[in-house]
Amino acid sequence: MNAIQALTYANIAIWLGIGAYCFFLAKKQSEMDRRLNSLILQSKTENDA
Amino acid sequence: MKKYAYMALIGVLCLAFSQFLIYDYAPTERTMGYAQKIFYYHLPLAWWCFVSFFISFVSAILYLFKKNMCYDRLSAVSAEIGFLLATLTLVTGSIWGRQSWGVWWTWDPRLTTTLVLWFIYAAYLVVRTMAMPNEKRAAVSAVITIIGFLDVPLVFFSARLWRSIHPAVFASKGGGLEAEMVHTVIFCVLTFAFIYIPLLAFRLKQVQQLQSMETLRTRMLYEEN
Amino acid sequence: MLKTALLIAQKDLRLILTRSAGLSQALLLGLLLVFLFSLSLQTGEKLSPQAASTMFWLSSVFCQVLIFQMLYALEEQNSARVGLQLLPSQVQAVWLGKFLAGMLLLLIAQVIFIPAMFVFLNQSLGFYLFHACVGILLTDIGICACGSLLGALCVGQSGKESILSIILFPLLVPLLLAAIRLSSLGLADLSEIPSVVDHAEILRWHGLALAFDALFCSAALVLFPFLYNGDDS
Repeated sequence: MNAIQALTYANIAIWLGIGAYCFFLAKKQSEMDRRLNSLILQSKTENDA
Repeated sequence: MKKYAYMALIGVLCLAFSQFLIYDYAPTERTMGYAQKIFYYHLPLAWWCFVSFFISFVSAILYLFKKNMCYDRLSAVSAEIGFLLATLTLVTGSIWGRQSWGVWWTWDPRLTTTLVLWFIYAAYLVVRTMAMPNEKRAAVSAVITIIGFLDVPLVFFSARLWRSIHPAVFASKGGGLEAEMVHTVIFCVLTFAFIYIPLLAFRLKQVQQLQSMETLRTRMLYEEN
Repeated sequence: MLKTALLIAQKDLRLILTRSAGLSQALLLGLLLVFLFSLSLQTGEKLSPQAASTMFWLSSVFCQVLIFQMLYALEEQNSARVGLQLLPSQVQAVWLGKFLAGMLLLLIAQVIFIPAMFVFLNQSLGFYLFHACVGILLTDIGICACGSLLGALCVGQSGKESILSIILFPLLVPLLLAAIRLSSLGLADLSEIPSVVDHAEILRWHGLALAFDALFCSAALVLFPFLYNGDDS
C-alpha cells in the first residue's frame, strides 16, 4: 500500500462512515413517518367510531 | 432547525475549501509524504469525538441530578455520534499507522484511549437497546457514561507508562508542524464543527419526536381502554 | 454504615459459602481458563511472566463477573432487594457490603488460581514478590469496587453476565495494565528482567492502581444510589 492508496482508503472510510450514519438517520426518519401515519389512521378510526 | 440546515450548508462548502487547503496549500511532509495528509481529517475526528463524549458526560450528570429526560436524550445522541467519530478515528489512525510504521496497531496512548472509549460507548449503546423502563435506562446509561469518561485519564497515563517499558520504536505524530499545516488543521477542525453540530441537532430532534410519539401512542391506548 | 455493610457482607458470604454450588462455578471457570490456555504451550515450554500474569488476571476478572452477578442475584427472589433498601442506613452500605464479600471471595479464588498458574503455565516465584502482592491487593480493590457498582446495574436483566463483562472490561484496562506489570515482576527472576528495574516505575504503577481505586470507590459511593433503587426492570 503506497501513500496515495493509504490516503484514498482513509478518505473512503471517512465518507463511508458518515454516509452510513446518514443512511441510518434516514431509515429512522422513515420508520417514524410510518408510525406517525398509523397513529393518525388509528385516531381517525376512533373519531369515526 | 433552519439555522442547522444553513450550518450544514456552510459545512459542506468549508469541506470543499478544505480539499484545496489539504492538497494544495499545506506542504507535503518530508518523511511521511502524502500519507501524512490523513492527519487533517484524523485530528478533527478525534477532537470532535472527545468533545462529543464530554457533552455526553456533562448531560449524564445533569440528568442524574435534575431527572429531566432532555438531558438523557442529549447524552444518548452525543454518545452515538461520538461512537461513530471514534470508529472513524481508529480506522484512519490504523491506516496511517500501517503506512507510516508498518503496523496496523500500536500501544500509542492516544490510540489506546480512543479504543477503550470505543468499547465503553459500544457497551453503552448496547445497554440503550435493552428492554427496561425509560427512567431506569436513563439512570443506568448516565452511570456508564460518567464512569467511562472518568476512566479516560487513567487509560491515557497507564498506556503511556506501559509504552515506556517497551521502548517507543515509532516517532511521535505531533511534532514540528509548519504554519500552513497548522492553518489547515484548524480550518478542518472548524469545518467538522459545521458538520457535527447539525448532525447532533437533527438526531436530537428525531429522538425527541420519537419519544413524543411514544407518549402519544400510550395515551391513545390508555384512552381507548 | 460500616456496621450495616459488615452485616450484609456476612449474610452474603454465609449464603454463598454454605450453598452447594456457591463459589465453585466461578472457581471452575477461572481454572478452566488457565488450563485451556496451557494447551498453547509445547511440552516443557515456559510461558513468559507477562503472559502468565495476563492469564491469571483474565481468569480473576471472569471469576469476579460471576461472583458479583451471584451476589446481586441473592436478593432477586421475592423482592428481597426492597427489604435491603428499607434498611435504616445509607444505600451505599449495600455497595460496601457486596464489595467486602466480593473481595473475600475473589481472594479465595486467587489463592487457588496462583498454584494453578505455577503448575499449568510453568511459573516460579520471582524477585519482586512484595511489590507483586501489593499490586494484587490494590487491583483486587479496584476490580471489586467496579464490580460491586456495575453488578447493581445488571440486576434483573437478561444476558446480565455478558452485559456486565462488556461494560466492566474496558473500564478495567488501566488497572489490569498495572496488575499485569506488577505481578509479572513477582514471577520473573533477576535473569529474566532485561535491565535493572526502576523502583520509581514500580511506585508509579502502584500509584496508578491507587488512583484508580480512589476514583472508582468515590464514584461508586456517589453513583450507587442511582442504580440501586426501587425500580423493577
